[in-house]
This record gives sequence, C-alpha cells and structure tokens, in this order.
Amino acid sequence: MRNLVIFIVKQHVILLFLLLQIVCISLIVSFNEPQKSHFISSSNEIFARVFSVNQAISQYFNLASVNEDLAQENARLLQNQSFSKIDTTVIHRTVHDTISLVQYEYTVARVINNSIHRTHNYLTLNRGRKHGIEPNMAVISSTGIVGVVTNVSDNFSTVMSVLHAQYKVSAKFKNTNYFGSLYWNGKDYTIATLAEIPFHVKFAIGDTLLTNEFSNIYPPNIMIGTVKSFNKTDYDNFYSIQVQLSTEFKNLEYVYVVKNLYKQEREKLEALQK
Amino acid sequence: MGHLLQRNIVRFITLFGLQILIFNNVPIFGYSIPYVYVLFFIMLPFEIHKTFLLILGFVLGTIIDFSTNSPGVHAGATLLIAFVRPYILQKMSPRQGYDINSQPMLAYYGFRWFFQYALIMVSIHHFVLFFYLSFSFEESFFLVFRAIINIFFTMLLIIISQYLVYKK
Repeated sequence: MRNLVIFIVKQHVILLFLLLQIVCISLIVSFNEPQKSHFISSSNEIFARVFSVNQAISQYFNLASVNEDLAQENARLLQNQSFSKIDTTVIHRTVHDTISLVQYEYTVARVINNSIHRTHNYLTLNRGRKHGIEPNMAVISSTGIVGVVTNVSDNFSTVMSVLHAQYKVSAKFKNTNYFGSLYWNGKDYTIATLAEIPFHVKFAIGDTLLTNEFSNIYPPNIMIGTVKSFNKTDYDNFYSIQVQLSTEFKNLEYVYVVKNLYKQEREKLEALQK
Repeated sequence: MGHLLQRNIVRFITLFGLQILIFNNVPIFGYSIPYVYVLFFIMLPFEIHKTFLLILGFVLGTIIDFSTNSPGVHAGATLLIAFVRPYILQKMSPRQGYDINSQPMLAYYGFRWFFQYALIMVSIHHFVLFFYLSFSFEESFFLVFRAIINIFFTMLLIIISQYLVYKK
C-alpha cells in the first residue's frame, strides 16, 4: 500500500495526463452518438450571448439579399392563396376544420452562429425552450432544408446542419418517388451525396429531390436540391449521385423551426412493432 | 513574477478572444482555420510546474471546445502538448541552459531555435486534433491534407506575431 502511494506521488504527472486524456476520449466517443444532449456546446448561454452580439453586427450587411429572398417567398405564397386561383367547381361542400387539420407549425428564428467549414457543422438559433423549440424538430429555410435541432436551452438552440459528418436524411425524386439516403461528403458546402438509388431507376441531371415523411421530422415535399452529376460504382448496385443543395448555407439568416403536431401519436404507434 | 503573470493573462485574453471571435469564423481560402491559441502554450514561462501545465491544457482546451461544439477534441490535443512541452524544451536546451530571465521567444533564442520549437508543438497539436476529428469521418487522407495546410497558416501567424508584437 505504501509503495503504491509512493508510486502515485512519483509518477503523478503521467498519471494525471493519462486520466485527463481518457476523459477527453470518452467525451469524444459519447459525442459521436448523434442527437444527444451535450453540455459543451454553443447553446450554452454565455457563449450564445457572445455570438448573438457578433451576428447582430454582420446582419446589417445582408439586409439587401434577405429582403430579396423574403419578397420572392411572398410572391410564391401569394401564388398559392385561394384568391389567385380560378375556382372551377360548381358546388363547394368541403368543410375546412382548421384546428385539427394543421399538422406542421412553423416558428421563425434568426441564425446567430453558423459554421460551414468544419467536418461537424452546427448552427445556433435565437429561439429556445421558452418559444416551444424541442430537440429533434426540423429546421428549414425559404430555399430548402437546413438540419435538425439537437440541444435546447431557455433562449437558444443548436441545430445539427445537413453539413455534418453524421447527418443523414431521406430524400426522394420529385417525379418518380424513388427514395435514397442523402449525406454530406465533408468537402464542398454546396454538394451532398445521395446513395441507395438502384440502377433501374431512371433520372436525369437537374431532377429535383424533396424530403419525405419517413423520418417523422421533416414535412413532406420540402426542397433539398437538384441532381448535379452521377456515376455508377463497380463494387455495388447503386448509383452515387452528387446533389447540388438548394439551401445557401453561407448566408443563412432566417430559418423556420418545424413542429410536427402528430409526431407523438405516430411514434407511439410505430413503437408497438418493435 | 507578478509582471510575468500579468503578461500571460493579457496574452490569454487576446489569443483566446481572437481565436473564438475571429479565426474560428473566418477560414482562410475556405479550408484552413489557424489555431493561434497554441501560441499561448508555446510562450508560457520555462519554469512552470508540470502538473499545473497539464490542468491548464485541459481547461483551456475545453474553453475552445465550447465554442466549436466539439467536446474533448481540442482539450485532448492541448493536453498532449502540455504534457510533452517540458520534454521538448529539455531536448532543445542550449549548452549552458536557459537564462533565468528569458522566455521561450524568438527575440531571446533566435529564429532557428524558435521555429523548430514552435513547429514541433504546432504539428503535434494539429495531428492529434485532426486524428480526434477523424474518429467519425471517412476521408482520412483529406484530413491529413487539411492538417498540413493548417499547420502552415498557424506557423505563419505565430512567426509574424513574434516580429510584430513580442520584441525584446
């Protein structure tokens, strides 16, 4: 026993080093399980406040392009309004029950921290638990998908961006409904890879990819991107498709957090099969 | 002694402030994020206690991890350079040893000595950092390439800082 104490006192530098290094590695390993809450993240209140000051300054420089985006979106929404469509029906008997028919609720949030050049990219939003944000909600922008909420504090939340090594999302072709799994390759922030599309599926460069409801996170038919190029691989039976993402991550400023009101009901039902 | 402590605290605030507010957000050529905060560990006094140095490495690395959403990654890398620093300094010591009133700076020991010392520290830090980052990432060759570019820019900034700020 005495020898052990002498050994520890003598070698305490190396022992402390090994101990702390094990702490670091266990932090990294536990972090690699995606969609988990972490204490060390930028949704931490102090850091989020620093970033929101930082962002408030640069926000003014983007006002012009944000305005343009919003105007375009307004135009698109106006197009979908009932008064801008011709009514050809003779008798209209549909009852619009607007309370039970809403499935997705949208909350506007401002991006206060954003990264695109790392291998694991995150965004921080200025909306949190107080505003009804919860983990695993989808985040979209006016031009396409952005990511999924991972951590929430009272006033802020962090979002795992599509540009994240562990992020995968189910995508389908707009015209044929064939679906595959989309992930980021870690190099270019405008390009993602679509896998699991078998050889018999017909598609062309420029085809549109949309979200589907498989994940129970995204609303269906949200734009993801377009096919940029594709090639056949020798070693398996699937195409490797390069997708041009429609979201411009570099100047992202306002996003929508999507709440699926029927999520729990569906999860409960699907849990019965397991 | 009090003077030395003050200077190190000022250096800590400047380097970590620059790292978190500017360098983390402004990648050079779209790929490289220079980790200038390593300079803080390079320039700590010669006679700093080993145990204290280790704790400092772990705590300050964790501060960077807070800002980049990467728990354990920076802490692991800074911890390792904090651990090997005394051995490197011992190996590189001049024949008559280090002067009592000097610091590990270019102004005291010349370009050649400082460049070698800084390059060893920065390389160890960066390779460990990118190794930890690659735990969950497939394209390891790409990460090695990125690490080398990063080392280049970090070294460039460190050497420039020696000529501009830390004169004798």
